[in-house]
Amino acid sequence: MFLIAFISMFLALDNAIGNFMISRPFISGIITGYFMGDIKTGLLIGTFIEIVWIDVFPIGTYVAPELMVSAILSVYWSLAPGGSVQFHTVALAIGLAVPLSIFFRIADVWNRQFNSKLLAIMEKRVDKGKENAVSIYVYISLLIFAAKAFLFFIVFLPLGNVILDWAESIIPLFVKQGLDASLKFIPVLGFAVAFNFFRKKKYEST
Amino acid sequence: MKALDLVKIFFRSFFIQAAWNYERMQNIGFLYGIMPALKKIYPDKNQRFEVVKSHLEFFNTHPYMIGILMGMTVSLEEKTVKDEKASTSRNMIQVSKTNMAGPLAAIGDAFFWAVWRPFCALLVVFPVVIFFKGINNFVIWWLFFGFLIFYNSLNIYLRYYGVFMGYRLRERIIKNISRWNIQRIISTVRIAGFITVCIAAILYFIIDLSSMREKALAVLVFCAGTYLYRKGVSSTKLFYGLLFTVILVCLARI
Repeated sequence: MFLIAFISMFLALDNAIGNFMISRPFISGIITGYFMGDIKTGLLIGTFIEIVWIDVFPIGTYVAPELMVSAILSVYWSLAPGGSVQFHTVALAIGLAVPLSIFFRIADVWNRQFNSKLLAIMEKRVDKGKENAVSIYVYISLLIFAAKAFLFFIVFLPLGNVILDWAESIIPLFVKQGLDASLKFIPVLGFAVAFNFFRKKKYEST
Repeated sequence: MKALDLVKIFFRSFFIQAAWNYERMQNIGFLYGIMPALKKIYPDKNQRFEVVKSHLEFFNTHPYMIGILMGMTVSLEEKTVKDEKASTSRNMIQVSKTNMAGPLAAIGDAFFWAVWRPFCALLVVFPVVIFFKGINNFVIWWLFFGFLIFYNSLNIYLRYYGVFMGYRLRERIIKNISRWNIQRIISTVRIAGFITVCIAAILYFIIDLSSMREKALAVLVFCAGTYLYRKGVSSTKLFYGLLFTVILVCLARI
């Protein structure tokens, strides 16, 4: 669990350093799956999230789910119990991970608001002639950014396991059957979203 | 400025988003990137102070476009120092920088976020969803590194050559950019993405859905999804709606 939280922290830093897209859901899904011993399930979950939320992109102030978080949490929760993965666990895990991924984005907004406060402190130091405050500020921001991600995962990785265990024991059979059946249609929904997403002219003036 | 200094800027450009804040966005990232160059151009600390302060003002653009702007700004700063008669004043540099940042951000958002990234993702998703049963670990790692290399080739190319081009051409680079014919590229990638989705959906329908009932339900899901998505229902709501509907259907069967 510490390992996964640590890796997640590293993946989350992608948003701060370089935007290499290692935080895409199927990439983080594969990585989490690899460390949990089942790459294929990791890929499957990552791919589902990738295609259903293919239209989410980081423009404006709209708080969209942080897809990387959805992928890591749901892969971990699906694989943590061990044994063969059941479809309804996967659907349930994604269902529980999405609200948390929205919460992660909100935490991100707080983080960036806090950065503004740090900026004011840093500017005063620069006024006093301390230029290296700029570099220090960059490193401190990265540290806070990473710490926030690590803390988030260290809390919610085990917590989700407990919640899902409990949910498994109380939900009736028809819900499980429904979730099992829904898995085949998640890609279809994804196709519907992607179909309309690529059909629409967004930024083209012609 | 030696080539090595520009390479340094390139490496530092990856930190552009590191200290992103709501008040002035990428100002620190930008200053961090060009700081070593500024130290070289203005060896005197007191002289440098004003320059450093000016680069702490609001700044925001697309992260992949930053190389161009950093190269250009450093070049303009250098010109100001070298040639005292030059018309490039402090104010001019600031204006060129912010004037370029807006259009470059728009191009970056419209191309990278809105089409290039979803398109690259689609190319991976497409084989995975359809041929999931036949995929082994070797293929997975192939897709994994294939995506990262394919996608980032443009990211890194633009950052690296951006620094050098921006340094060499300064404001004239805008002419080069307008020659890229970005609208056409966006349309092409978008239409390629659209065709890929159509092929993927048809293959999925033929290969992965076995019974008649499944096929009928899939068509229903697709049509309902399309209808609701066009009405402005978000992916998140559609996802939960789907789970909920299928559970209800199962309940009705019992």
